[in-house]
Amino acid sequence: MYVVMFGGGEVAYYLSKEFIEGGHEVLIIESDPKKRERLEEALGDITLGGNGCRIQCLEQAGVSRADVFIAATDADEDNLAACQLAQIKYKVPRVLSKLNNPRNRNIFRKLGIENTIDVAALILENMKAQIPAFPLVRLSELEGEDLEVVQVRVTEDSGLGGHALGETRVAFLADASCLARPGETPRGADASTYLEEGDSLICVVAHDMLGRLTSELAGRSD
Amino acid sequence: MNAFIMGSGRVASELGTLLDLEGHKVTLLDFELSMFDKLPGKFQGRTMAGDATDEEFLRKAGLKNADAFIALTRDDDRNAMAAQIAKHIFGVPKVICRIYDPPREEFYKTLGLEAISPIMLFARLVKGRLED
Repeated sequence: MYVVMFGGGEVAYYLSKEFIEGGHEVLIIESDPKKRERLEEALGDITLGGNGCRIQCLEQAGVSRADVFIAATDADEDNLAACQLAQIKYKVPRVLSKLNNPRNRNIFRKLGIENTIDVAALILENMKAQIPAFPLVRLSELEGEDLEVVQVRVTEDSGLGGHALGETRVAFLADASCLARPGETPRGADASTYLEEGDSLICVVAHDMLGRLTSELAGRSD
Repeated sequence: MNAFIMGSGRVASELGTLLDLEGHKVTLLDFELSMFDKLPGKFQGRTMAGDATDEEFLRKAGLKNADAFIALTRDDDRNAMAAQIAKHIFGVPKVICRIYDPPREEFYKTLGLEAISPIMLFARLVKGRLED
């Protein structure tokens, strides 16, 4: 695969390392000479000086033969411009963008950039995952499907403990596929699965049901 | 006409003042209110401080009632993003954006944006004069 990245920060560094180790070809577009020097010291001759929103620079990078284009600068307007060029003008099959402002997710989608990575939300979910008091943790998004994989924790306040899954509102809002109980092997979950405090359910939920599921688990249901 | 102009430079100030003197409702948008200090004293329109590529800010500014949105900052990427938000999220009927870089003027035109490159505009103008 040929992977072109725009923005040579930390994300680009670690991602490039993985791609290179996997035998892929990587080019990082970065205008700051200091950042380029750091990247090249560690990873070899894989950077191009310039602005990834500029057609001239993208041509030089050979973006039209790229399999993947990743925009990871700290400015969403630059990421949007570069992704639109890569996707529409150069027909790159997979285009991803880092999102700096979570509110821009919807804008990117409406403007044709479907795959965005909301850095703030990732950090938030990771932190929530470390704190058992949060009953709902978003684990991942199923691309293009408007579905999310979430972890539902059977906490004291969730009101789920002592019930069969089929009796709870979770069963109406999400599809639970797996039950994880501390000290036991994870197993498939169905309506008769009896829930205990400390259990976790791995569920698939439609994006627009997340809000309802969240308030349900917080005991704020109507 | 209810016109929103993004930017506080010379072109934005001149355009805003022209429209204002013609009796249109004009709102100028830029990051800081101090950026509007150089506006001509005769400008009577509204100025607002905020990020014009932020949907919430544009909503608060009342963009959904706009007849026109004109992006005139020095930054092509911000102009293009704000113009697309105005057009596709708020459905503003007339959207114009300045794109300095000529190849990108072409690109944004293919996306349906009314993009103007001052470089190309001037080059065409001079060429036209030469041919007169």
